[in-house]
Amino acid sequence: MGKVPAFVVAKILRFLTRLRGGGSAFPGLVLLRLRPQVLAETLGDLRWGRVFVSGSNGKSTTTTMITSLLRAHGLRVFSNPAGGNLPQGLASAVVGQASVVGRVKADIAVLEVDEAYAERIANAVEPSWVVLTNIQVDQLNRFGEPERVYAMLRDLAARATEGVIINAADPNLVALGAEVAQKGLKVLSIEVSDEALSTASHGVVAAPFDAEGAEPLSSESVATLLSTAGSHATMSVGNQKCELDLPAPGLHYAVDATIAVGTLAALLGGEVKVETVTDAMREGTPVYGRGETITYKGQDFELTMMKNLPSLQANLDAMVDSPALVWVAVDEGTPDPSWLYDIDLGVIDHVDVLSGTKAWQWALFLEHRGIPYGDVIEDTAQALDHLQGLSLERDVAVSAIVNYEQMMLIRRLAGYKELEGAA
Amino acid sequence: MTQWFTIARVLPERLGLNGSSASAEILAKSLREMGHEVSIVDVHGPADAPGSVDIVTVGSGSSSQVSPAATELIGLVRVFSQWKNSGAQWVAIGMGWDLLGESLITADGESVPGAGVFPSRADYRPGRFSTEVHGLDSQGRESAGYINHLGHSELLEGATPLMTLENPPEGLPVEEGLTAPHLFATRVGGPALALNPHWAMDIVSETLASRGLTPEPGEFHQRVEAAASKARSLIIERLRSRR
Repeated sequence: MGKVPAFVVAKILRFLTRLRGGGSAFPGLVLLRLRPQVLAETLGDLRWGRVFVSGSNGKSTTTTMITSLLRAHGLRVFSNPAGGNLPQGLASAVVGQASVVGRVKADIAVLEVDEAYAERIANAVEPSWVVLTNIQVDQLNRFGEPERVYAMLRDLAARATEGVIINAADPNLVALGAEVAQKGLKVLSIEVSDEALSTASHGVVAAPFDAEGAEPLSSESVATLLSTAGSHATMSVGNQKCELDLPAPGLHYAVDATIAVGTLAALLGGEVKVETVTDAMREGTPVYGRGETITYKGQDFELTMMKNLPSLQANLDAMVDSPALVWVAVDEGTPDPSWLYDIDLGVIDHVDVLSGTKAWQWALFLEHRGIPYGDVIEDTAQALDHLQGLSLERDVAVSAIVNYEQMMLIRRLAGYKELEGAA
Repeated sequence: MTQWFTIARVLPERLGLNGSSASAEILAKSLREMGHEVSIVDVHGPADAPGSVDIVTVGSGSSSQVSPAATELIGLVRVFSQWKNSGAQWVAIGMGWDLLGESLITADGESVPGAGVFPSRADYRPGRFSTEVHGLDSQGRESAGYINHLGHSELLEGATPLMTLENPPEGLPVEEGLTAPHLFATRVGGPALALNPHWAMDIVSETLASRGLTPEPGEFHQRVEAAASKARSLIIERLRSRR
């Protein structure tokens, strides 16, 4: 179908899906069917190119940070919303941000890209820069093992026309960087000081990939995380020092911010304005559902995502005090929760309510760890009401450890209509 | 009467993927809740291997660990022989089982010699299976869990399957795991012993029997059995609803 008619159809679909509440990747899916070359047509000739952000964790946060930093420096940025990292999600973002004739007014695209779909997206539109956050133990039911993720990200990195930016605190990415550097690719890195690493009991929680025999990496460092405490981070970029107040605490968050600042430095060269970076970071908000607090019937529920082992461990490491009222809600979105047994629960000394279809597997885990737990209420809606009552009675917020699907359900039950990935 | 037990956890860094080193923790908790003292010793090579142990556990790993883990296990073969001769119980999950078997053929077709503790041979060429499973074990008990593992294993003389899977996905063998005197192995991942406390109790019972003791399950064991039964029921319900 012609470009303009395809966009007209997709925009009408977008309007209709939004009338029903929230957003959807459906208009993007339809647009890709009607106009398969649409990503190259709309994003292929942006003056500053395209930055692909991928990795096991931190993709959404890093993409959001890079986008806001570039905008603060005066660039017009096209980006996909958090979680909309499959081809249809990208196309939906194009439907939302392009004109009816299919034109995107942007200088640069910063795209969060799912590891497994990275090659397909790179086939549709070439990355100028590839930014890699980490390789961690993630979705083993989907990927089998971290080695597969390594191969997917290596193949994506090899497609970069300008260069690759890696988090050198992750030894897997150092090995990957060395491998692609041997093919002549420019590899830049961000560093994390030992002092900063020591602030999280489990460091950067890299996957236990065996990279014996890997070549050493010689890369130019574009930013270094010097130290972090709570939600404050100190980093160096070029000859400048940045003191940043971030929207959420934790080493993982500070590392994501360093990757974002390092990417900015790689793109702008010496033109990074420290004050602008400081302001942009201060004004940022946590990405949808990550460290977010929602309100249900007047009571606060602080959401901690258990997307996978490293993300939960990083979030637990960032907790300072034992939460007073703890809810764990996990369902089929976590098909194999075996990795729970590798978790250090840190300050969590009890759980008040377990819910979701994996509640009993959590109960077994807590039994073996000797951590007391209260009620098991499999139905999440009932559990939400029960916890709201407990929260009111005890006058404390609920700390909810939830997987992605339960987070979406809880937000919906609490009346939060917007959907992640909705463009 | 309180007794001291030692559990050796072999190569936990290399072979501990996805909760698979939890077998030691689960067995230790079960024994402790019966009033016994248990120490878990991580074994990385002959230098830190105790002279005698009651239980040996080994977990699973990812494909880049096959070669380095196999090399390190070869260095432990003499220790393994000593433990085996003294009547230790062996508990192996996934790749740990495969590397303690007679041999392993990797997905690339490379043949890797095993440590020879388990009478089995593994072949990773048929590809990966990632699925919840359930079925009856060799004693007719409902058992369940999650398999995320490469290929299949052939049992050799002296071994019998641990369980028979009900309607496994195409390509996944119906017979799963291995039992033999003092040996227990499964590809059911991570906390297989938590989800199936009857298996943990079998191992604990054999360990206690070697000291002339009988198991004395208490409230903890009852709570675990009740929670495990509900967890397994949900797995079975999910699997049956997909058919």
